[in-house]
Amino acid sequence: MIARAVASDDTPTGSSPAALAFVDVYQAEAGFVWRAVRGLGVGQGAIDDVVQEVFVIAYRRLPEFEGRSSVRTWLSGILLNAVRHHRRSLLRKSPHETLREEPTDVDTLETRARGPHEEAVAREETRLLERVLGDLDEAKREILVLAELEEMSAPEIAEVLGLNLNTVYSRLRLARESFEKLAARYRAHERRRLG
Amino acid sequence: MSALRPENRALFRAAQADFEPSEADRERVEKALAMTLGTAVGASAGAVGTSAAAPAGAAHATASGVTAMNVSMATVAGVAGASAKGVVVGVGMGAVQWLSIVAVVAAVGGMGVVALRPAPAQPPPAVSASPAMAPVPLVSTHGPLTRVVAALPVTPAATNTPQPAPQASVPPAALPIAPHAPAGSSLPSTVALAETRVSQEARLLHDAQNAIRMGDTAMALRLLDEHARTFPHGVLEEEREAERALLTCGSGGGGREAGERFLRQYPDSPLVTRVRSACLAP
Repeated sequence: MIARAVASDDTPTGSSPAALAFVDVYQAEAGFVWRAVRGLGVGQGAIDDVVQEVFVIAYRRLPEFEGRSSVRTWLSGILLNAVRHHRRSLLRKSPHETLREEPTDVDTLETRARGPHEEAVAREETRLLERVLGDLDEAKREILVLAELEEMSAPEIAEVLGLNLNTVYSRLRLARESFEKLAARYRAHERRRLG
Repeated sequence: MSALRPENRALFRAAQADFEPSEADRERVEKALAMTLGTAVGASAGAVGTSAAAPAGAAHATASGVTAMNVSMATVAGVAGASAKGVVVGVGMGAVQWLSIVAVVAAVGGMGVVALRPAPAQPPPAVSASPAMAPVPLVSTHGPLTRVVAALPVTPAATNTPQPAPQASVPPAALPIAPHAPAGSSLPSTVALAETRVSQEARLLHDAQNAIRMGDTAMALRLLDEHARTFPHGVLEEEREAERALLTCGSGGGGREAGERFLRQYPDSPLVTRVRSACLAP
């Protein structure tokens, strides 16, 4: 299948969608997919699996990709489905548990090029973000991850979610309001706790 | 469109950096994908793909070897009483990077495990020094890795081969898809990487496609049925049903009906165009 995708053109960056090579898609979008999967709340133990699923499906469907949308919007559709699928299978496994997964332990993540103070602040912020996103319903979480984390435009989001543009705007507004409310509540709670 | 307050926008900005995969993350996923798809996806894979015919150029492009695909894969399958037997397969990635697969068939009490362990960068085996003998480039072949895995003897514990009736109602989540090395495994230093559900799904469909290519329709249908029983709502469910529709259309009888059923069931599938043109074209 990869042969089919590559063989049609010598230049992997060729403009024809048929020339898209899987490796190029992977290289360009691995970071995007990983970020979104984490933002959508997939637990640490399952990130590898879900990211892999996304690319296995992308690999199989690449020959059908017609270039009507950008690779990224196309991949986002696959990604959202893979994450929903993952959550449903968690639910099937333990129907009486809540869907909240073990959040990624940011302390174990490798330290990036930041000072210790910046590091601690960033860690706190990531934790808060994960909590708030985790408490939103799936639709709100999805639209916020696409808009705020991945910085996709409203028309792109409309395409990914199969919604019309006005619906995207109004859902985005509601999702942001919910996010602001929850974040404010957690921040207030945290301030009280710290006295 | 109202925007988030600055302090909340900042949360997302911080997460953009924090949610990036690390080098180790990328490497793990790349190795797993290479095993599942039988194609290299690492940073150098593109270079190999385009310059496979020019080993000198490929050597240059891949010399950095950031995602060196040196993998030792030890597959231990339980074959009671069998003596350990080693098979070494070298698959070329340009002239520098090598994927060495060490498939070990050993007697380990009926448990199966696929272990993946990064190996230190090795020089290519002597046999392949000459370009004339260069092995198959990974990118353009279909799954030498998966084929090795598939060809190995496997035990019921290690496979998902559905046992006919009694197992049929077990949901996929309950299947033993992640076999672990038994305590006191003979490979204590290897990190066990269970074959993931998705790679098992992909392998079944891949085998079905091979069967179709070989003209063995009956075998292909059996494999698709096996996928349907084992992973009724697997991530490749749509692919499976599309494959089935295409197969039915290709073999004549009932094609149109199979195509229509697929379109009804998966109207939003990206495979709709293909199924429609194969099954419903006037």
